[in-house]
Amino acid sequence: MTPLSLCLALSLFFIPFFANPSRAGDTALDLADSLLKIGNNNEAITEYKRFICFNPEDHRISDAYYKIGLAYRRQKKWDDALSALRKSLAMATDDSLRDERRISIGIIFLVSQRYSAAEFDLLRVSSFSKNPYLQQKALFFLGICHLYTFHWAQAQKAFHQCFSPSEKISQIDSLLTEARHLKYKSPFLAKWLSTILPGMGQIYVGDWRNGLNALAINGLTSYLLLDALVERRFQDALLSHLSLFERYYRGNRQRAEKMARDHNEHLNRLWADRIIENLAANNKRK
Amino acid sequence: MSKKITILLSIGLLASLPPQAWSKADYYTPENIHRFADWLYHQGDYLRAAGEYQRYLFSANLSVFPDSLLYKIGLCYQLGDMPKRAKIYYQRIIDHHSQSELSDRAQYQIARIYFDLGKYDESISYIETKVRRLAFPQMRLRMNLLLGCNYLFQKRWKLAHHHLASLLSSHKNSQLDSLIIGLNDFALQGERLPYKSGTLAGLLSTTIPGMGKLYVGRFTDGLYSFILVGLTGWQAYEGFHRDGTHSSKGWIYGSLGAIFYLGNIYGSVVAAKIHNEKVEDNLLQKIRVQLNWDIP
Amino acid sequence: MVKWAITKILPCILLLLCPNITLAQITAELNFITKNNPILPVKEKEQSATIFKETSEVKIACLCGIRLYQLFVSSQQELAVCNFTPSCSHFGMAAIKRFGAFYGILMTSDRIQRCNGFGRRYYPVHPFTGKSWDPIDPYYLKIRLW
Repeated sequence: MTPLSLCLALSLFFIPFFANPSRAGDTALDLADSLLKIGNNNEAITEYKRFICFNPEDHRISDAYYKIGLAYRRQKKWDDALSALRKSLAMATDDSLRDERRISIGIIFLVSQRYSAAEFDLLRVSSFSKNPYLQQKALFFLGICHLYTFHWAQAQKAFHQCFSPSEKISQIDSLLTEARHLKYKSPFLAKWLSTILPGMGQIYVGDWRNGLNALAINGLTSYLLLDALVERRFQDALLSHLSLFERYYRGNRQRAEKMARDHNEHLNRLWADRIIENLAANNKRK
Repeated sequence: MSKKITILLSIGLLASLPPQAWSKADYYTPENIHRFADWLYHQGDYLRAAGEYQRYLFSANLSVFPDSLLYKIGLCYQLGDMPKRAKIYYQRIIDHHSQSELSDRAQYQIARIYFDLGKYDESISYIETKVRRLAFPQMRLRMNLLLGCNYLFQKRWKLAHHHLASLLSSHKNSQLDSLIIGLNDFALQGERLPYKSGTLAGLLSTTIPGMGKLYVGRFTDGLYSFILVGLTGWQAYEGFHRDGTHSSKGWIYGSLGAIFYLGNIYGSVVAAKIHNEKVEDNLLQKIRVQLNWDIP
Repeated sequence: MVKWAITKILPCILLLLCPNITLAQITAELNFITKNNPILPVKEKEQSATIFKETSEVKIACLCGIRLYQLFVSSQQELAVCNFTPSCSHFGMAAIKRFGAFYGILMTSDRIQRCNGFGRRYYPVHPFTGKSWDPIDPYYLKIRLW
């Protein structure tokens, strides 16, 4: 057999794969795809809708709605994106496509801070999808969702299932293990330290300025109250000094507790941000 | 051998080519653009529909733009919250199709745009210049009704009542009878609104702190003002009485008391003004609910 | 020749046919999420910076006084003391900045007298804070003494 005849025979074998009817060109779709590629989202949406208007029964409708959803997502119109993606999901013809749409919906929920909804969709794909790649992808974003809600153990479990053991992933694993044992400040302890000595709870949390401020204010109000009581000016003590002292003393306790909670939340956010940065860097290196 | 290969190749190529590849829809014919624009309009995507209607205008190579299409574009912009652009298209209908019914409608819609934007003066002056020149009586009635609504929303109750009553007597048994009667009732209600006098509220608060707010109907605020001004005044008196003019307590409470006293008077006058505005806004809200106009 | 075809052409064709999903896609999605929903919140601009752009000394004195109160006194009292959104000190600052010291002090004094827990029914509720919504605009009244 000559080389030419061999090449021709091979091309005969492979032509049907490429000449798939589903890839037959459509002017509106092609135009929409190129507009979406260059970032002209609004015009792309118009062309996709044009295709949908004239081909309501076409099997590519699901894909068109999916790309409309992506275009709205780029424009940060989350509700419109969700609506388009849900239509795409309803019209998807096979399970893999449906799972992919669910992952996209989950990502939009993540971006719009609806974490429980995101968790629901991603968990569904990670548990029931038959496509291992999509399962892996869903587990990855489920892990990200858990990072956003500071559920370290669940995030660690999701990443364990998602990635194969390697040096890079062990780094993230160790970060997550450290996150589970972070040195939080106890709000209860902060509150009771401030009860004993105003400002001590704030200093325990690490906020010296507010601690000293609380000490000064409470010192002043208690001095005015005691001074009024010692000089038997009960009217002054009752009407102004007692109410002032009580307001700032209670405030000092409440704020110490709140500061401890804010400190813990800030610590969680710092760690979550650090882990996500590591994940992004890790993916780039791969 | 080469013949066999050529035959095999041609069979393979013919088998693999999809039939659909040869029958692509031409989306960009004027008819299809119009069809797509109508579809977008019914989907509620008004701004895109307006864009497609405009595309149709240019692709159809029309010598004169039809008034129905210009009206639809205007409507799309109006529903898509772009009233300035809507006005441009309505004005085109008025300039180029002055004899058609849609020209009257376009004039009504321009007046309506001013009304929806809260520009009641512009709406009134527009209606007054255009209403007599309208060819169709139904549109004249609608314009006059819109004029009455403008008077109502400007809170000119007497003028609104007078206008709507004359409209009712001159256009009996029309479709909009019940609406005119309803609006006239609102105008009558507006004439009898329970206003409060700001001057009286201020004077009452000058004599007794908090009394002005009680008169306006803010009982708790009035009581609180009375207690606060009273307490600070009393503490100032106590301070000066005990230590004379050198009393720091007297000066602190005295200054605070004076500020609260002046604030109480100012607050009473403002409370009367806010009460009057609130009473009017409540009535206007009822009118908005009653005015169940869909843009035709 | 056949060997050459199998070793060179076939792998290229097979590679073309395999799904081309990469980690790059996942990283792009991750960057999209973190860009639009950053974990560390963006810090708000400090109010103090705008005080010294005022030209009137009386206004600056009043605004500095309120700002010092906010930093050192109000920051130590009980949480959520004020019944309104914006709080009385913020109301005062906004009123003085917009309408001057005289009207600002009068409006603030009136606001303090209205700041009691019993008058909630007179005001609409703010959707985010759940407190009574009371902006400065309705409270300005031009006083004409002549």
